[in-house]
Amino acid sequence: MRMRLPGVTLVCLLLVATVTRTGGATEAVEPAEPAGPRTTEISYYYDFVRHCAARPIARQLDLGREVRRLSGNPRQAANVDANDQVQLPSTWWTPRLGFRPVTVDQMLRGPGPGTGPAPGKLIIERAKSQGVTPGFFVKDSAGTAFLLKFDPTALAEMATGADAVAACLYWAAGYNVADNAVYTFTAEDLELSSKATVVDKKGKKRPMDRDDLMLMLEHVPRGPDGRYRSLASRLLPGRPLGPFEYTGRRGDDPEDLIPHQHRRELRGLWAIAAWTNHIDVRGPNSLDMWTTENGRSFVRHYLIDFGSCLGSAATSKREALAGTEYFLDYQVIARQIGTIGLRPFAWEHAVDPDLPSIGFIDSDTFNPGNWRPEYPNPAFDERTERDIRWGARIVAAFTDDHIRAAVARGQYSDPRAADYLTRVLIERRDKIVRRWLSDPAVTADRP
Amino acid sequence: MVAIGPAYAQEPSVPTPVPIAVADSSDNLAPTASVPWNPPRAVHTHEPWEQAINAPLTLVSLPIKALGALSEAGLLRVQEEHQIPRLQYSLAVTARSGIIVGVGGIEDGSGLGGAVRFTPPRTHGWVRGSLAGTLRHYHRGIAEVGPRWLVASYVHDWRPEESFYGIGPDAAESDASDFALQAERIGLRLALSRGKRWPRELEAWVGERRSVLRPGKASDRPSVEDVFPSTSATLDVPQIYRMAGVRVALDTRTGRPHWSRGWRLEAQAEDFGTVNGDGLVFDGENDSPGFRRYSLAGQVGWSFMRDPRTLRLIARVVDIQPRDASRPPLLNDLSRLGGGAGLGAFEPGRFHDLDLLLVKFAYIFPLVEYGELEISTDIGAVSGDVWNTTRIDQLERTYSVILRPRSHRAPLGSIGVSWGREGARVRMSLGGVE
Repeated sequence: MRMRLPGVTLVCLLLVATVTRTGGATEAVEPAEPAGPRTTEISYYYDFVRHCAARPIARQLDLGREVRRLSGNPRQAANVDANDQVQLPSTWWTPRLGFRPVTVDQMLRGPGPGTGPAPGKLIIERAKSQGVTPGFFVKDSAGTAFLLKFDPTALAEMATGADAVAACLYWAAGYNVADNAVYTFTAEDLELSSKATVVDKKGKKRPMDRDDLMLMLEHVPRGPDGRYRSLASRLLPGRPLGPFEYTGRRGDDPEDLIPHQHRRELRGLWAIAAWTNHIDVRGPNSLDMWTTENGRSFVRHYLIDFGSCLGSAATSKREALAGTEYFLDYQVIARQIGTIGLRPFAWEHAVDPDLPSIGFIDSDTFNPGNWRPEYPNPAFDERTERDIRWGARIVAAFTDDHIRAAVARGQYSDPRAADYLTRVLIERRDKIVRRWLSDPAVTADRP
Repeated sequence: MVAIGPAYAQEPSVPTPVPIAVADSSDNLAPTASVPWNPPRAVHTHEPWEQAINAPLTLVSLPIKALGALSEAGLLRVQEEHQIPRLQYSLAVTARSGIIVGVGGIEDGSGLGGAVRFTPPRTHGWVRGSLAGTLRHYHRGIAEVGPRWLVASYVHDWRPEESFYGIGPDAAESDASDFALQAERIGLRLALSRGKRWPRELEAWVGERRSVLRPGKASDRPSVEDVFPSTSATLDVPQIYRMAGVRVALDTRTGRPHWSRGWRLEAQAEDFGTVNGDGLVFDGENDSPGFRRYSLAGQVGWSFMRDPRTLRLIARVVDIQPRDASRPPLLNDLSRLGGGAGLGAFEPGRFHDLDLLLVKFAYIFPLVEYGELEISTDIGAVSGDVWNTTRIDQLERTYSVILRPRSHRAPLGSIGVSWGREGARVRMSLGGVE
């Protein structure tokens, strides 16, 4: 008996731990004054492995989910009202297009003012050390802080254009984004702060000097006027708390009571991501900010970094298959094995527009019913048709003029590029609308 | 139901099926600073009934979750301390100093291993060396001097656990044994290639080889002399060969990520001349059993669709002709099948004889962006005379399903299973996949 006691105790402890971890039925939230939550970080590598390999397996073993699937009763978003609309206010999303009139001018102003740094010198505070593209943190002559990001050498205008266009679209769709604008400068416009730092090739942070700067600028494409082109992203107000996850809750935020995968705004984001081919929509491309406004401090949730959106993969152009399969897509693998590869992929019919400033995005092979990000997103995995229709409603509200104006934010020097991207976005929007909003069978009240 | 008319693309055709409760009623489109809506208490990830039916699996998964948490912490540290760029930098620095470290075995069946290649700076690549070793104690050292087209080389090989089951296609599985091979080779090689439309290759070489068969070192099977006593006389006897050979090839294969179109034809002739006692470079004992080896290999591929689905036919014939019919080559010089040499379901070295015939038919198709699958069958056999004694009923067959991780440029390796008459065998390789 004495020998068994530790085992029983262990099991009890594990049970308690399990219930506690999964949010036991008796869990109550103490009202508390919001204190600044701690800063968190997501490991890119872990996020990839977790969502590519571990979580898909765990989902297959989730008996509750299987019961729901078999009974045709998927779990609906937890923050919707009786009319199936997002309960407001929300620190994740603001009703804009699709719910309120938003003029083209309002969209272009976005989070504002949309003009990039003020004229004058830019002071480099430090070099960007995360992500796949180089960049600088700078302050303009008015003391406003920006992040400058650049295009890959051989694909001028691609990543910066995508970032500017997509930020505009996502703001109009209601999401919190940074104020992004295409901005050009010369090397003489840049000055180094005495405190400027760079993480060198050895992975060590050290003071940044002019040689470092010129070395980084060597790879930055220039326009015909010799000016460097960048994407100037105004730093968000408040204290950065790190990215949010598309699953679970931020435990130290008393206003975060709904698991993120059960939020309508994040589930419905799928439709907007599909429209804009934002296959890089994942935790690390988000940011929580500890914001103080109107005397109230709270966490506001942002989508950031749209350099891997539309036809851009940040450092290269998108592959034709982007948006058609996950990096490790068990469903596609099973289909391929079942047909011994004889069923063609839809993307195999895609035609590359051969527009380096766009990269690759098309509408002909776009399947609005089966679009997928680069690897599974927990909130997208939980989406129901109601969530998608909510997002599709937003997509539908973008007029051709909205789209044309947003594309113009990319400042593409080749008019064919702007025309192509505009046409593709219009056609992709139409496909989404036809698939999710026009079919009575689809819009019937079923999950 | 939402009705969207064709005009939605021109006007802000916001479908308004239901009124929306906008708590922040201002016309301001800026994000709200109001207290967000929340339910009275935290929403569970799973409903209580879901938690209940998932409880057993949740319990079982706790150690995995713990492992995941540890991995997350470790990987986050790797990221925050920039350890990947540091590693890349270190590898780049060592590469600049001429040192390249790699992972991989020494041919099939030698086990997992690694290799270090060294090209001293300022030698224009004319001096090269490499050392490779595996967990099964295989070793290989190579030193080369000269431009790529004319290379003088020295090679040392130690292969301690080479399988041997007897001579001929009927060798019994129960006669498993092994021998060790210690070999040294010195030579001069000329390699030329020309042509774009019809790429042609020519190689010719001369050299000397010293090889010594030793008792096998494997712990799970008897040494060769215990199972085949007649081989004991050939053990521990250094033998010298004078080698000369020529190989010509025509190669029109193209395609990415794997070669998917074109063909390759290759013919090779080698002479292993008898040396009585010492050679020019190496010391030996007795006279070695000289022989000539001729091999002919052909590959042809045909593909369809954009991400290539490829059919391949590969054939290889090897014909060894001893100078003295009563003195066949030593075990290590015989033709062999099994493992990566062909008939993958059989152990490497499962079949030995003078000659061999192997035909492989493969179909490769994409699974996902970074993976493809090969399904293939090998048909072949060893024989004393491939032209006269090979019989269809002696041909062995194996079937394989191989997963091949790939980049956009090339296959990166393979892992899969082959099965045949004697069972199934898992195969894995890092690199070395066409």
